[in-house]
Amino acid sequence: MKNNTKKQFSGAFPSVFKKTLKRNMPGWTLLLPSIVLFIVIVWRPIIVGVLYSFFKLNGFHPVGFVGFDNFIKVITDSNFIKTLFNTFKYVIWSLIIGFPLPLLTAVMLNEMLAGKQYFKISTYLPGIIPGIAVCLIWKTLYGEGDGGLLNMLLAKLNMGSATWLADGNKVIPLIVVMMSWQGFGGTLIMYLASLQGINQELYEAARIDGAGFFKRFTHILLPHMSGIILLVLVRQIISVFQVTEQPLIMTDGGPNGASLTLGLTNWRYAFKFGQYEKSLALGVVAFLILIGLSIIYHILDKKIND
Amino acid sequence: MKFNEKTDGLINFSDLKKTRFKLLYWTMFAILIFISLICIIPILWVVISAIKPMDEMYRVPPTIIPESLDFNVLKNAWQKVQFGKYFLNSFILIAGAWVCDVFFNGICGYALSRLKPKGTNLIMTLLFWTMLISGISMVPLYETFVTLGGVGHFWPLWLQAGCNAFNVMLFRNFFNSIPMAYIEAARIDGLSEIKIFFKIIVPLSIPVIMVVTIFSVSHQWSNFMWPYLLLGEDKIPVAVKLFMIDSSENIMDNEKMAIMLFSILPPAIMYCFFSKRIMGGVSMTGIKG
Amino acid sequence: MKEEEFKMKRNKVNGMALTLAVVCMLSVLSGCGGKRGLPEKNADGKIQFSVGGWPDDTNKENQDFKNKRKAEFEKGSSEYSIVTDSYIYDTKTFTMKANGGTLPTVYDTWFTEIDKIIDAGYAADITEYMDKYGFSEGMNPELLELVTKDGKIYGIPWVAYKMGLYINKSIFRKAGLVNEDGSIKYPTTYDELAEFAVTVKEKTGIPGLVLATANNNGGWNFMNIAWSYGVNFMEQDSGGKWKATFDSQEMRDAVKYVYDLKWKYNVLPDNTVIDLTELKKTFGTSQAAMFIANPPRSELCTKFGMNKDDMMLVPIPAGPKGRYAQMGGNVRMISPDATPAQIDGAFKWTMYDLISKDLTEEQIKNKEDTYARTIADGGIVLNRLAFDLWTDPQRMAQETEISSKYANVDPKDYDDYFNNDSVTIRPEEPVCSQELYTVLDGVIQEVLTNKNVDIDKLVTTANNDFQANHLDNLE
Repeated sequence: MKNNTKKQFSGAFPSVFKKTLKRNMPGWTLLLPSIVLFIVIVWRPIIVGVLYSFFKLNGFHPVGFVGFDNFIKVITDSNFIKTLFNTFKYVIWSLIIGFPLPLLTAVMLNEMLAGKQYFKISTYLPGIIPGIAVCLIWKTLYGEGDGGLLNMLLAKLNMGSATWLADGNKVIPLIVVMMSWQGFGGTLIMYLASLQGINQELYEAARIDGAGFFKRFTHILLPHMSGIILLVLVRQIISVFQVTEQPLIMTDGGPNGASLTLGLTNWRYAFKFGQYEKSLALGVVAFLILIGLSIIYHILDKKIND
Repeated sequence: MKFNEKTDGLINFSDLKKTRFKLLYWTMFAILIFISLICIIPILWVVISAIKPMDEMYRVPPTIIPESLDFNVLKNAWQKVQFGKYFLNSFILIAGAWVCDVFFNGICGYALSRLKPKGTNLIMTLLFWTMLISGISMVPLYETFVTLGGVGHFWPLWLQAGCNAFNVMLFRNFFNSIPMAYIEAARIDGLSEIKIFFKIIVPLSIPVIMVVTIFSVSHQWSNFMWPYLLLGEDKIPVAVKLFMIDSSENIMDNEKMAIMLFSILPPAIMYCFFSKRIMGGVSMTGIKG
Repeated sequence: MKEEEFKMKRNKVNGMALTLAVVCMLSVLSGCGGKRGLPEKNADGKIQFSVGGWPDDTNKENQDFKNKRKAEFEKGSSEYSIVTDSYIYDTKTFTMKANGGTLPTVYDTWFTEIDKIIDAGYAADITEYMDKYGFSEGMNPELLELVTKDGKIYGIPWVAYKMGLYINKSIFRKAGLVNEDGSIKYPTTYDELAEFAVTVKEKTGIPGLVLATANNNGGWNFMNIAWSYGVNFMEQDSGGKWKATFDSQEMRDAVKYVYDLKWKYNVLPDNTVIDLTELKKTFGTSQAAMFIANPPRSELCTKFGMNKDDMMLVPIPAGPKGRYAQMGGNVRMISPDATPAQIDGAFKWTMYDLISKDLTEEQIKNKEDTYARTIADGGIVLNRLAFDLWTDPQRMAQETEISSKYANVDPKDYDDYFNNDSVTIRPEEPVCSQELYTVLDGVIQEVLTNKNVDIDKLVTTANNDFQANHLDNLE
């Protein structure tokens, strides 16, 4: 019996190999260009970056292996915890402000009989403005004193004027509002595309079964969209976690570091202070934190796909 | 309002006969109006500021609605910056990036979703991790482009668009949602894999291609860091010019707003023009079954 | 059988992972050996070098002017060919450009960046050429010291200045801050500065003073105040270790002064995110009556439409412990990838176009052209250089003679600034100055946005942060 199996196996090996090759060839062929691109443009540079985070650099040329020194320097920085905390504050605010709104808007928009076109265009417009322009525009909206648009409007309503970005407690939510405004249209479109794919017969069937509005929402719409919602969620968390440009242009991390993020700290290490090794080490730390989140995603993704 | 014509969506004509659904409908309508206002007011502010005379710009307190209009601001800004050249550059950048984005990420997503050769899981995992990392690889990547001779050319930016892990995921998720039955049926009809791809998959993929197109175009339109690093003065796109103008000494504040307006207009016009097609493409596809 | 299959599958995946890893690793080791910098010779066999900061299309007139200069230079020194590059020094991209070997051969930057650039090896050692062309002996040693490290010289300082206090004369007149003879009164101490600012605010409603707060400009601006209040920021102990020493009463007084400007006197603008551009804009559009800066400030006129005759520059005010003005300026550096022939060419161009030890007829003409252009653009020409670049008094007198011919502002508005001997000029702190500015930015922002700030604690934290995060990391 044992002998038999072995014989059968060894005899069959070349043909199994051929079969594998034949079955996988089309897939591999299609993947090849992408893999080459990813290696050259994405993966290799990342590996170089990670490798160099263990070195002392002169410019960008390693001059000596220093083990975990760079990491220790970055983590023991007295502002590290505060910055990490700030970064999570961005993420949480973006989940509160920026995450549910496009989803609900997409659902509502999908129900409209008239004005659909207008809504779609108007909500997407902010998404096409270059990021730098968005920051500059919102800076004039949030202007302090009587120079900012929001304060001018408040003054017109006789409500005095408020402090905006200068208030350390408000600055993160305000920047998140701007980011949500900018990203709103893009997310909305993904949701709309997904909503188009819902099988209308399911609604019909549910209606016949007497399912009300909320049952239809939770039992048909949400399950259908869960994949895309999760993808958007993950992308949002990741991109907000790496936010750099917005606080850089709007507040330079201020007031007194109240809007400082890991990304901006990283930027400072790299460009302001010329300490590339620290910038790389911080990048790796941020990556490790995101891996924690990725594990959660994988678990959720599996659950949904099964 | 022709409520009786509404046959799709969460709420249909039979629901809308009831008052509370009507109420719900109009509440939603009001909320949407509000949201759309929030979306466009800052843009209107740019338009207004772009035709505001200089002295009103810096008056204390400044005017919200300008007392007089100065269309020369637009003209001066355009002449000072010579935007036409930068628009053309943006167009070249976007067109090439779009082709690479859809083609490379599309076939990669397709292979990962439908063909699933050995190693798929590994690549999926790698792709996912890729989305989590940024910033670490900037200098090594720049050095790579320098080594490959990409400085001063568009192609590194195009290729960069061709490996977007998020878009690969988007394509894969979409292809996953195409019922296997379509493909099985085609196989039974004796179509080859290639024919299946072009005759069945591609037409079905229009919605996701549209979505990726929109992302690709708007991302490239505001892509600034890499074009700034790689391209010379003769090839830089609008977004880079915007950045340079921000720190430029000879552009007034209202002219700056005018320039921002220029950077909003072309995509806005394109979008208004094509949005019916884009959305039409989305809804016309056969996924509904 | 099932298990076998599973194992095989797993081996396959592992195999692929391994292959991918190996491919990646191999490519890590290879590559990156490409040519760096501009090739020494162009197609015609001429020595080529690139010059950054070339005017771009938005500035057509300056571009034409520069192109003309380039053509003349290439005619005179026919072995060279200049490649123009619009790259302007910018912290965002400099490191990348430098690492990628795509810096222009010749680039200009500011004094504040020098240390970072030299430490990272982004500038060529030009000692030999500085000696050869007479810069080393002729130039003000104070300036040379800034660009020297371990006995080697890495840059050519070509503009230098000390900070002063700019005053908007028309606002001052409106506020009645005028002497009997009609001249403008100005503050000479920081306490007076506050008083003047209060008067301005009361009489005109315009903030009396604007201070920078962001993007390191806050710390940079604050240094003038802090030094004059007697703050000593750092010291080197006998073991060579640097210690932060600004957890002191002097620092608390200096910070309290800024706090009072906002919360006691209320003479600062409402905006609290003010970088250099915003700083100039606020003053240039008459939304503040005073600010601390250096001359000449042509952009206040050309960009913000300020009348050049409304400006006046006076010496920096004195504090309780002295009267210190920060030194600043521009420096020209050469890419480390440049070959000796290219460096030589770059020097010849610099001497032709920008600065040289002896003034030739041609250079005098160039200078005159430049001044004329500045005036045509609506800018400002002073009757003398802001700082003695050269030790030879005769050389400086020559400069003064040329610029006097073109000076388009009333010298009286600048005389006190130039002639006040009680002001001590100080260069930047010896180490980690950029990092210090970032820490101080935070301090300034905190006192300007938080009325209930605990200054004691704030200063102590800043001192300890600076020590732990920056000074302790020095080698």
